[in-house]
Amino acid sequence: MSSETTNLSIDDETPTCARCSPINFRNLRKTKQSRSKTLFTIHDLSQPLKDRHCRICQILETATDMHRSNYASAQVGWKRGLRNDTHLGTLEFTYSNGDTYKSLKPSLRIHHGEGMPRNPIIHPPKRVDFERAKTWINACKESHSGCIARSSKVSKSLRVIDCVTRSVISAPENCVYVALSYVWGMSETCDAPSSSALLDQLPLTVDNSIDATLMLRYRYLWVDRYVS
Amino acid sequence: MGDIYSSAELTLIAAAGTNSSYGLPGVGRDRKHLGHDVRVGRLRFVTTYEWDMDEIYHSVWSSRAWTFQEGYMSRRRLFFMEARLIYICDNNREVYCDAEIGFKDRRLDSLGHLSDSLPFESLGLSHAENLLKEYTRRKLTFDSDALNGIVGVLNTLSTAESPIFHTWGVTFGGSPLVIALAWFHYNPCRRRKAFPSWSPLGWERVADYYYNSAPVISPNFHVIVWDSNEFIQLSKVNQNLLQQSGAESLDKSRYLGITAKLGWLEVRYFSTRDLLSISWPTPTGKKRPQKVYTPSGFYVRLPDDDGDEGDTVEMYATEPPRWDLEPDHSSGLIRFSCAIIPQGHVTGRTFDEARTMIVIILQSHGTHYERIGSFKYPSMFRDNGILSRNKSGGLKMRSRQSSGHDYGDEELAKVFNKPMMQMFLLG
Repeated sequence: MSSETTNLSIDDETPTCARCSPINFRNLRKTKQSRSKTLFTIHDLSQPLKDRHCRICQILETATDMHRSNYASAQVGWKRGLRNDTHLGTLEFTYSNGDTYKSLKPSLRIHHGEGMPRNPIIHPPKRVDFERAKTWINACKESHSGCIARSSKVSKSLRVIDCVTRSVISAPENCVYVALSYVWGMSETCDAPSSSALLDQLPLTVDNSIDATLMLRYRYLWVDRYVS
Repeated sequence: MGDIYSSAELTLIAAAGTNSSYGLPGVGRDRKHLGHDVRVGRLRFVTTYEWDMDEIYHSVWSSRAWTFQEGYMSRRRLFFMEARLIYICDNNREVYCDAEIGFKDRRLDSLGHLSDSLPFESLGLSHAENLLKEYTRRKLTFDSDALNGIVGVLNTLSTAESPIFHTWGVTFGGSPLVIALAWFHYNPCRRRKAFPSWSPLGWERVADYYYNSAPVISPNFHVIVWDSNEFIQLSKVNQNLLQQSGAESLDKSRYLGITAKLGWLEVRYFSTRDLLSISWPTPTGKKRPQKVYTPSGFYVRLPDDDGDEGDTVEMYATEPPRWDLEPDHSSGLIRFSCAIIPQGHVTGRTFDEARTMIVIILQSHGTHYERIGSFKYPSMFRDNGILSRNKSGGLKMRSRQSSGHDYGDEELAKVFNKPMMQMFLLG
């Protein structure tokens, strides 16, 4: 491990704002407790960066991006990493809308730049890797007896979307199908679309589900409202 | 509807976004929220999710009542999250995620809140209670769907090795026979009138259960239920009872015939202003009452105490009951009937009947009662002292007299005004 005598948080050249520059991540390593310690609060998530040039602010903004539109403020906590690892510790975020608090991911792990971390760092790909998902499903099918269909009590009148032809059909006998579970949203109570208009103007979630079904090498999809 | 999900090969779960125009992240378009891996000076900042499943629990998808059954009944679930894909099947060992290598052991490390929305190998009464709690947390558009949205899930419990049945969503089973009536609301809430008041489905908010205890059928507590054309003992029930939701007063299955000690109590409303002016005893000696949080509301009157001091006229427990429905604010004392129901530990073979009980506060509807609140006795009366009220309405906190409060039958008779074993209908 390199010497930790430096008092600088990041290094001399990195621009940091008044809030972020006192944070000394290397010294935080020495905190005793394994529980999270609150460093500071981002009071208004709807506001853009406190300081456009601050590198730490930029990183905090991207880490909280997913929840900015849903929460008013976020507490930033610090949890020390394991000793003898490149992992110094983790910044954890607790989001709030007044009286409720929720600890949500992602967190921000902070490593020494040098050396390999003990736990490899994985980033999910930009596009869903359906081949990987298929390996999970196949592993389940091969070895989990408990995941077999409980019993096919589904009525003979089951209708499904044929994802190849993008049309609604009566399910063939012993139909192997994928189901979609989703929320409609604001217009939760609106009428089901007429069946002729069906597959031209699908909500994006249903449209994407047809693609996902095909990518997983299935053909039939059951979606509430569209097939009943 | 649940059958469609349990018979499906796989269920795609759209757990990102708030509506159906959001799409599945990473399918039609790139994921907007990607992992970041940034070097700053000698440090490296990396976003991580680890195996956190609370993101699913906090999603809009998890906030709806109908999706509870859809997720629970499915056998293989592929969750499309903002930045991740998560796979959870009915097997308890493996959970997969595309932001991590390998899989997570679901048995050793729980899935957090999410485990209350999924089937589990060791089903039991407490699991059933957790399911009800999770379901009642969720939003339902139409009151009339309250039972339909969970009945498929509850029916799966009746086929387990030690079956759990339900009536109107209230589960019962096990040996000794236990019925899950010991629930409460954190705050008063709206009644769903088409459902019985003794079911959490009869109310609009999350119902939680008193810790590690449920009413045990015993010599001091019987329940009879309506089974197609007659009332039968709960212990004789060996299948799920049919309920006709909507057919209000004609449906006898809305009523439980309960035999228990029935007494009465009085409550008085104290406002925040009343409670802020409480005079606390000067801190002398070890047994002084600690300052405790006293929210405004209706407090239960305690029997008069011989060790009365000065101008005290009435005494109250320092903690209000859990009200399902708050009584109308009026000055003066309001009297309610109450049922005293013995409790037992769900897992224990024996239970100490005299020590803990659930008191259900009842409102009379002529031919039957409805519940409007509950509390655990005597724990609600322990340790915290006594709130005493003088002639002019002033409140004072004083320590409890230790003598004469052994919480035995004598005390019970005093607090609940000589309760008698009695049969009554709870609707």
